[in-house]
Amino acid sequence: MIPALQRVARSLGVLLVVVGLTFAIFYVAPIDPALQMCGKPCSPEDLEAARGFMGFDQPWWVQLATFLGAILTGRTFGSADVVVECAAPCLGYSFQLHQSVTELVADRFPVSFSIAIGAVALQALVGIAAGALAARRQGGLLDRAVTGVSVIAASAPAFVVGLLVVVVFALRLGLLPSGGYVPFSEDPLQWARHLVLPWATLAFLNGAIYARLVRSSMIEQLGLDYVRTARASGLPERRIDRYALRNLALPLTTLIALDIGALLGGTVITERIFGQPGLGALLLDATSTADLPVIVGTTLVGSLLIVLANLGADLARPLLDRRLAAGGGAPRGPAARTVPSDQNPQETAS
Amino acid sequence: MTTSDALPAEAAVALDERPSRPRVWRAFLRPVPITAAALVAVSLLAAVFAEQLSALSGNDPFTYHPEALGPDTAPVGALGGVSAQHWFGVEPGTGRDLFSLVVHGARVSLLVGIASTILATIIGVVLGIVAGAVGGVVEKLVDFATDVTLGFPFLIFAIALSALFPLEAPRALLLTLVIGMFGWPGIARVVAAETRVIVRQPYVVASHVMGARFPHVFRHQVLPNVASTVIVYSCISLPGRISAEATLSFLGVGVLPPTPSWGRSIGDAISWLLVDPAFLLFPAAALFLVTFSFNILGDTLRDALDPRGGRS
Repeated sequence: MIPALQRVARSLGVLLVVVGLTFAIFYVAPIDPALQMCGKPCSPEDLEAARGFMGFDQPWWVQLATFLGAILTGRTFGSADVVVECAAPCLGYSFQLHQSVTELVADRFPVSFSIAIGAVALQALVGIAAGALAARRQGGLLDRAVTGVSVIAASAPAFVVGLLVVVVFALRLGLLPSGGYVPFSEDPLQWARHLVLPWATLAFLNGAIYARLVRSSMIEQLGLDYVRTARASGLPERRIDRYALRNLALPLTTLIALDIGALLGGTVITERIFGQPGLGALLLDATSTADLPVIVGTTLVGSLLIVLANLGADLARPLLDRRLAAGGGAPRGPAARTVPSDQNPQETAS
Repeated sequence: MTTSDALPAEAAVALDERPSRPRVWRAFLRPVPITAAALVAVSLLAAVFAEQLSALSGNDPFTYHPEALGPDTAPVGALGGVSAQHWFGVEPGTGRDLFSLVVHGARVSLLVGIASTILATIIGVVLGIVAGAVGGVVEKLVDFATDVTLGFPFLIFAIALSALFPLEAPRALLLTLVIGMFGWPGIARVVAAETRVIVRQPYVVASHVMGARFPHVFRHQVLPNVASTVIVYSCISLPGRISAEATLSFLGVGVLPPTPSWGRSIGDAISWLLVDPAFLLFPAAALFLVTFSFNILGDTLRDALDPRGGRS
């Protein structure tokens, strides 16, 4: 119980530092949202009024405290005659879109969620199956095919694959729509049809990571003594595969959790290619209009999701491996990774 | 640091079995690694001699060639207007020479990729060695900094930061800094783990007892022993950084026009997918071949240098 609490506290600490740093970076930014709101021509008095309205006339620590407080209790901009309400949890207010960042994020989240969940499910399924089959027939044709494809997938930039997929499956063959999004509640079938191509793109790219991990760990497991003993006592190969795979539960869960966190924060690339209005699209639009509150809010949501996913993986670890729960040594076999071994932007943010 | 700590057996073996130079060379003398090395060499040459190469075809990446375009501003001719004058065809809409755009694009990609990898490696190695050798509070601090860095959603944060860059700022430099600053945690962790083992080795302890200070140990005992890991790790992470630059440029928040960039050309190709899909072909192929070749080289190097092996 205590280690779990420590992990939660640490995650909270990381999150606070991330929020603080983000806030500090964007506070010194050469963008002045007050100037944007002020309109043209902008007299110094109007600008001062706009700054006061947005709370930008306060020192930075007051602003940070107000910002953090608003997440818990909500916030009101302005006073007396003109008032803008931002209900809790308030992540800021976009004076360009006249909406609170929380509402904007909530609007876009289902799109990113749909893309992320399907992609993670597909990539885990395909990657684990391919890796296990390749390990079974090590050195065979299938193994070489899986290894070859995974090397290609590891090198191919996500947007190149996505565009090729659009050209081939949507424009040339006309099998599926080339983009757009239909909410699940409106038409589940159309929802899936519009998401198949982004799912496939992400699953192809990230599935390769699963295939590599499962293949090498399976080969390692199949060479261990317990497998030899199991074989000698006449256990069917299927059972042995199951035992070997069970030992991969720990690293795989970590990988899946981290992927969900990274993808939920915005499937920026596929959203751009397939024209889907998710969190990534929201951020890109905000960048082009220099809508600071939206930029900061989306960044923080993305970071929150990553930290939560990390925490989830950490907390799940003792449940999957009783040796860890008992405070024993590290598990044998594939190393339990806290994070991907490499901060590969493709892997963590596609 | 205490001397009584038991030395993990596996690590001790790993340290003893440094591969010999001939073995490393032999690993590269096979068809696939040689092809990859050749492709990397070609792309490096293209980056260095971009002006001369495009001059060879009688073009530059900035001149508009409306005569190569049809009435719908799509290139005239097969494969996006491939001709003796325009070897890779021309860019739809403007008619700029695509061959020149691709060779000049190599410059930005490789420059940002390599420079950010060097930056990330330096930060990672220094922090890793300090954390691994000093231990205690310092190690905890580095560990926390690692967690914080990994807590930032890299792509999202890089996009957000781009909103802050003034238009006239040197984008390639800023991209290098952003990609490099977020790339160090992985290498810091690996180096810290190795350093922790190395500083408990008898020869390091002996040197310490004889009065060697930290800079000496750092320079003569730790650094040479983590060198191969560092080289392998930076090679493996290099292609990811090249694609990071391309991704940001693709999303329109990287290198700005008119500087040629593979990522931006590919991003521009989105609006021409129906009319002129060939426009996608050349920049995408260049980008893929370069990341692919660096990946192959990194894998080969790792297999040759890593005595534990089997991590593919």
